Amino acid sequence: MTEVNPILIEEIKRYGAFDVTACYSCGVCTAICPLVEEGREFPRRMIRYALLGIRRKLFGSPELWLCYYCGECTSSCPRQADPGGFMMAARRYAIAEYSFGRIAKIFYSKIGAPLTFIVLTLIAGLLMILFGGNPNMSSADIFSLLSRETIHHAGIAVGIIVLLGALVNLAMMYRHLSQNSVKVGGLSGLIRVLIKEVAYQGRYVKCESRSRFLTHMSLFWGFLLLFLASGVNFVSGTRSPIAIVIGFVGGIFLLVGGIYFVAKRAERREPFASYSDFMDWAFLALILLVGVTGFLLDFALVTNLPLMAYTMFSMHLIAAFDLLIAAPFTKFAHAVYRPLALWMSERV
Amino acid sequence: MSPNRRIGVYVCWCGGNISDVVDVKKVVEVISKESDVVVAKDFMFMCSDAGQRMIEEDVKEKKLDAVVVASCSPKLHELTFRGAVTRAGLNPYMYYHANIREQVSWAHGNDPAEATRKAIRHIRAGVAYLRHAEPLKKIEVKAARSVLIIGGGVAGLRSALDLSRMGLNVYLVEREPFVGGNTAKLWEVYPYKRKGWEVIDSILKDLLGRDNVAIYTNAEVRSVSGYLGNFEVKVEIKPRGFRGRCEDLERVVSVCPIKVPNEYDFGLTNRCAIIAPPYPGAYPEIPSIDWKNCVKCRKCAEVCDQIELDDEVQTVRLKVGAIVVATGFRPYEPRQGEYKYGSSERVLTLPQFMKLVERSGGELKLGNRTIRTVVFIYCVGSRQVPSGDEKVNSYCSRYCCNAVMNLSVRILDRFNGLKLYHLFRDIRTYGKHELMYEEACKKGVIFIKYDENQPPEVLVSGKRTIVRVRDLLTEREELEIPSDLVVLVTGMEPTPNEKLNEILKLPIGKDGFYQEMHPKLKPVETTLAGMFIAGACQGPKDIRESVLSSSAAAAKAATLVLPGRIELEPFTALVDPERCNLSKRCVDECPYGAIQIRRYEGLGEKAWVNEVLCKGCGACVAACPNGAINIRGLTNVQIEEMIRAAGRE
Repeated sequence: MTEVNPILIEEIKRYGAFDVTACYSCGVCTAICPLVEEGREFPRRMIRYALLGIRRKLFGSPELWLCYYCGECTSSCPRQADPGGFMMAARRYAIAEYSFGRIAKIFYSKIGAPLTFIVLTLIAGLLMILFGGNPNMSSADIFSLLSRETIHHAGIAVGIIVLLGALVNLAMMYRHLSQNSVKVGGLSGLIRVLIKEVAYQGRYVKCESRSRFLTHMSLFWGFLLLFLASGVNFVSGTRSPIAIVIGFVGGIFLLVGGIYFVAKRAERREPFASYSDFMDWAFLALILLVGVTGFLLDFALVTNLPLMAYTMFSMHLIAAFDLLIAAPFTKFAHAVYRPLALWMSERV
Repeated sequence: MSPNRRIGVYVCWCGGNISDVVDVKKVVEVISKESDVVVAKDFMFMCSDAGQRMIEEDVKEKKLDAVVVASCSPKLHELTFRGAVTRAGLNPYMYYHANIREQVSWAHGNDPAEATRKAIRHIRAGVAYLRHAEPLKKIEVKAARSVLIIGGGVAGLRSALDLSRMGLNVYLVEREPFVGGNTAKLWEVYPYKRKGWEVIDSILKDLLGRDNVAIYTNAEVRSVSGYLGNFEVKVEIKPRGFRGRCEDLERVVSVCPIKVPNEYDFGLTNRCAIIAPPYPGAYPEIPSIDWKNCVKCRKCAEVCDQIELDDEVQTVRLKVGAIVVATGFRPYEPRQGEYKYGSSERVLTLPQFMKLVERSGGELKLGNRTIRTVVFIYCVGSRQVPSGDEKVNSYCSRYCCNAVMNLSVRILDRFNGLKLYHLFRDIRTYGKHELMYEEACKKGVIFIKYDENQPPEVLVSGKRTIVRVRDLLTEREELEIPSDLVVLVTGMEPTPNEKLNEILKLPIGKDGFYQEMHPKLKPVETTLAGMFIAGACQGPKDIRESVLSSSAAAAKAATLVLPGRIELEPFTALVDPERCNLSKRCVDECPYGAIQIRRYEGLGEKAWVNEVLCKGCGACVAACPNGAINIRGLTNVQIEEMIRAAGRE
């Protein structure tokens, strides 16, 4: 027995599902969705849970994360109820719901979100001033600004914070799903998910738009290569030439993906880009900032422009800090929620 | 037995429609050898001017006395050729139309030889028919140029207005003290914001000034005799008990000791035995005593000198040419305890809720309680699922989905913070009303689909009212809805009219509503000649549909009686009194009440057919054990001869 909860839909509507009450449950969205499989039907069922206020079922459904927002449902909805937009809004709401103490809610508040980024930026700047040394102004050497050890320790600290945040939130999501009797799919399932869905993003291919699949892959691999480059640097302790090549390729991938999505969101023509909230823009802005400052930093180092190098380095670090610290609480978290949902929706 | 006839046979090619399959030349050749056939011809288009002229000339030159045309369906051209033979000086009924297109060439395109043989058989039957045919005359009846309308709701009033505008005298009989029916009691009726009484008022404004309209309220039809064009009607009119308006009606009402549920707000409140005009513009404008409940304590008469409790019932006799029955519907009254109706004051019907809304100011309140959540349960009293032998309303009441959708949109606009749940089986907001459904969705109404075999449950405990329902659109998720008010979306039932039904003998369908003659072709006609049905007495209708059907009924009644005389086809039953042995089976069998027992001079009592009422269906012919009845123009002899001719090789 579930008591209906009229508040839930009102709350979700604030996250972007503005027209969803027009839904009359015809199911065209489910029928047309290229990703629906038997036993894992959406968006219609998810909309029902939201309209009736069945919180337990809605946030316990891995289906929320099985949607890649191709927008087919939205274009074919006879009531213009924007089911794709609803799924997106529900995911935003879920990110808040799964976060520890619902702390992630702040990233979806009109005032709270920019304020949080300002605070994060100030903290990063303060830390740099606190731990920074006297930069060598005659030749560009970033380690004169921040020592190798400082960068090393800061990296470990940020890594731990982000990892902890992500793990706690993942545990919260796991609890939601398992309360709804959804179970994980075993080790082989996890490996399948990691290869087929994370590395290759097989489900994304099923969506209509080939260019979106490719650019999303570009973004994803861009991130991965940049992490790899950082890892190599981290382990070797120097700027190894392999890391430079990997980083360069990764950076290009990241920029290509970032620019594509900025353009799509500015154009607003495709359903997935028809509505962008602050976080959508902030996320893209930070990605581009990290990418661009990274390239300019390399340029300044090669051409030995100390002032430019230190400026770019600071900006690069601060942007990366903002992006990473916020990651478990913003849309970036789909990088962990989606694989978990896929793992938990595999029938083994 | 039959005189030697001179029959002409004309076989049409229909431009190839017939001749591509049927060997027309062969048909003519065979038929021309039939006895009594003087001439047989074929022609490309018999219905053309040239074809018709050919027939006319042949009739005159060859002194024909009967004609067969073998062509298309008689529905298309029977009248055409009857006209042709009439112009040539023959009786129009000395004509037979053989259908060799729809029934032969179109049906048997794959077998021309057999089709040709079938065409010959058809025509031989036609020739046999004509050998025994006799000239007939149309039946002519005088008609009173006046119409009786029974029921003064929106349908009756609309019919009255239409008929009056066409120049006919209209008598409108209303059982209740005021006209307006159910429509006048309703709040804002879809699809716009006009209130029910405003709709009635706009018809009344036009109607009341007309001098060919008489409206009787508190009146009932007591007897109807006669037939099409000549009905004699007795109407009984109860007095109003009021000579005029009282100065202080409130005081008069307050002294009355009687308390009964007020039907003008569907029982939401009580009223006394004096019924004051229940809405603005109510007609008549003066109050009426409710004689059924008045105990004649005369307390009211002490307060107001306009009250007269001892007036007599009046009887009026009317002569009308046609009758329009517009007795409307009765809102379904839920059984005691159905969804806790009657046992909890927080369970209302849709019409009651409308009245509650109408009376609410800025806040929707029941008693002192502000209403925030309303649960609507659909299909109460409609589309009922049969259980055992119990009689149920298995029909859809059509208007309720639209009405509740409109009401929901209106109240969401009017009251803040209202949450509405609609528990439905199917949404049937057909046609333009679909937009209201969409609007209701967009305004946040939550729709929950329930299974007819697992209806919602209303639980009342103390101050809490909870509705339990399984939602079919999830996996039958069991939901609990705490609510302030439960509204049963009730449908329509036929108005109880036992007495009237005995008088009129109108056919009643399985659903209890009056039945039309044909759902598509004769939707406002009944099997009783001169009696029409209008509005929701025929079956659930909304106001728009009621008005549509009442205008249709008015038009049908007017075309019948406006000329002052009525011409009818002569194919009616005829009794041979000498053979009748008074079994009276025909009287029982006749669906039109057209057969009576009459005294014939020298023969005593025998069956007699009122040819104005008879439709020529032949039921009496089949029922008569003595073969004493025949249909004019289709006698037993003719049928037998036709069969024999058609069967001949």
